[in-house]
Amino acid sequence: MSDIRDALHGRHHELAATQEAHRAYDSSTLAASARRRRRVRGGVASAGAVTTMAVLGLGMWLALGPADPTAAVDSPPAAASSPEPVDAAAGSPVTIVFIGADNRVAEGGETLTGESADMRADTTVVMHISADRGRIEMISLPRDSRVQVPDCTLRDGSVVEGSTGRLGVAFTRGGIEGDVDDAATCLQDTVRDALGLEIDHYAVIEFADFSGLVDALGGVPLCVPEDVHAPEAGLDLTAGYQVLDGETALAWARVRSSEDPDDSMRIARQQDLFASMVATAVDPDLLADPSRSTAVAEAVSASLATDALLGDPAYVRGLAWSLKDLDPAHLYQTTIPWEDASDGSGDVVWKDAEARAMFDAIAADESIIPAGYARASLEGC
Amino acid sequence: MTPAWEPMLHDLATRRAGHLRAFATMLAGASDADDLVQDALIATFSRHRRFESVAHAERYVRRAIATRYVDRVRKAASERRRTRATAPREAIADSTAQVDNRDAIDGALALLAPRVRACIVLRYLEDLSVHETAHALGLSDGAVKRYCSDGLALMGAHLGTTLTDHAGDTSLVSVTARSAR
Repeated sequence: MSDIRDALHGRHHELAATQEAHRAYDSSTLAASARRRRRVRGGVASAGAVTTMAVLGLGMWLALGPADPTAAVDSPPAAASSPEPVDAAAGSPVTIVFIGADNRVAEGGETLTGESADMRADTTVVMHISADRGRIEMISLPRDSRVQVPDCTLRDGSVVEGSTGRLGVAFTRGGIEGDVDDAATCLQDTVRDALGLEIDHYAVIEFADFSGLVDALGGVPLCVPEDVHAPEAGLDLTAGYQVLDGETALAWARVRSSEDPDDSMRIARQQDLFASMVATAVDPDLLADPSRSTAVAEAVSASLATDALLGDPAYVRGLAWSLKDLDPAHLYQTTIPWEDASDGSGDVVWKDAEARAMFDAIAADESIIPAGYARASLEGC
Repeated sequence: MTPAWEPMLHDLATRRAGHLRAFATMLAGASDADDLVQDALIATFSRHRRFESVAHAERYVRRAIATRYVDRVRKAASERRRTRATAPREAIADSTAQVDNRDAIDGALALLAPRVRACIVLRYLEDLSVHETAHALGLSDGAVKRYCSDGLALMGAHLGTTLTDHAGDTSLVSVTARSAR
């Protein structure tokens, strides 16, 4: 009997010893290649960072004037004097797939060799903005949804073969080359095929960045339905309506519970957080306060990636402007109708008829908001 | 504050080059190792990622090497069939890996289908858990367990010994506990 670890480590040691004598890589050439790729993507990336806030904040840009948050820091808010932004997509519905990516170390008691840097989509929300700009509907898709992942073509031209798998896999697989845009595009295509719905844009936010964003928003009001005492997650909350700071809100949205085997409660909490962030961001008081708006912009600039059009600040400002009169009661969140696959896989399958009805309505730009819907509020908690 | 990325890249490309090349060799054989390492370094540093340390960046590069290796093999049409094969018994010797067959471990690794090989290397050389390995390679936990067990059996047969996974018990327990969650 011999241990596989000893055998592999022994051989690796030998190789490293001999390879060590070989030349080093030419780091200046590698750095030049990396810089070149950074530049190619830089336009999208920096604009994307700007945009992310708009995806979350939607209306917030109005207070900022200049599209570039760094410019906003230096100059007074120009909203009053700027010409009114133009909604380039006016008259058309806009559909965005919003991806909350979680790159943190896995939960559980295992000893980890290190932080896993792989891309994982923890939350996928399809956000539909109606053509009349009177409604925002957000539909969460469970991460474990069983879907057909199509062949995904990456930016370098290579193709990752499709197969049936969980929704989260599409993101991981598309991101196999370490490119978040590839990952998002693969997930976007998967969602488009699965729902039969054209997706106009994608936006990816890292979960870890939520915390700073929430703090910049001045905390988010949330309805905590029952007492939560989870010291390992750093949570000790009493039930009720309260404003949570970033760290607490993030922990609350992330914590898993043994009483929640299918993750549905966690998904619901994440939806609440997301919706509350959107609602907070379009709050007129915040929009009117340039220093707070700027702080939010800076917090967001630490974030991530969008497609090219959503990375165009003018487009986003136009879209945000068009939503200035949104009635909060028309900010709706729900989850796609689903059930357990019940085959021991732990997968989730969508209820065909109900899901189809929901997304047919979305595709037709018809409201899916039930009569009498109201988001949890001070009174409702 | 996060250190700038270029010194990190330089450090990895020089001081850590031997280790990265050795790791890539374990996966892909010597002939492809250089390409894999360089591609992985460029890809890793061409995104605006924040690494806390060189060690953190190196872990990332190693993951990129593994996923690239699997992906590269997957792209090669002639090898696609073998990638899909779930029965390693049918896997034939990896003709692309120009490993030194005098070395028993290299020979045994070369027998494995690419994904099986990646699972074995990540699991037992990198000491990742089943779950982390699955995550890195875009596989299910169950597939990783199966590949590892099949790979161990195949390598053991080649080496004329029984290969064991002494330290594996603890991770298996916690994985079981987690999937029961």
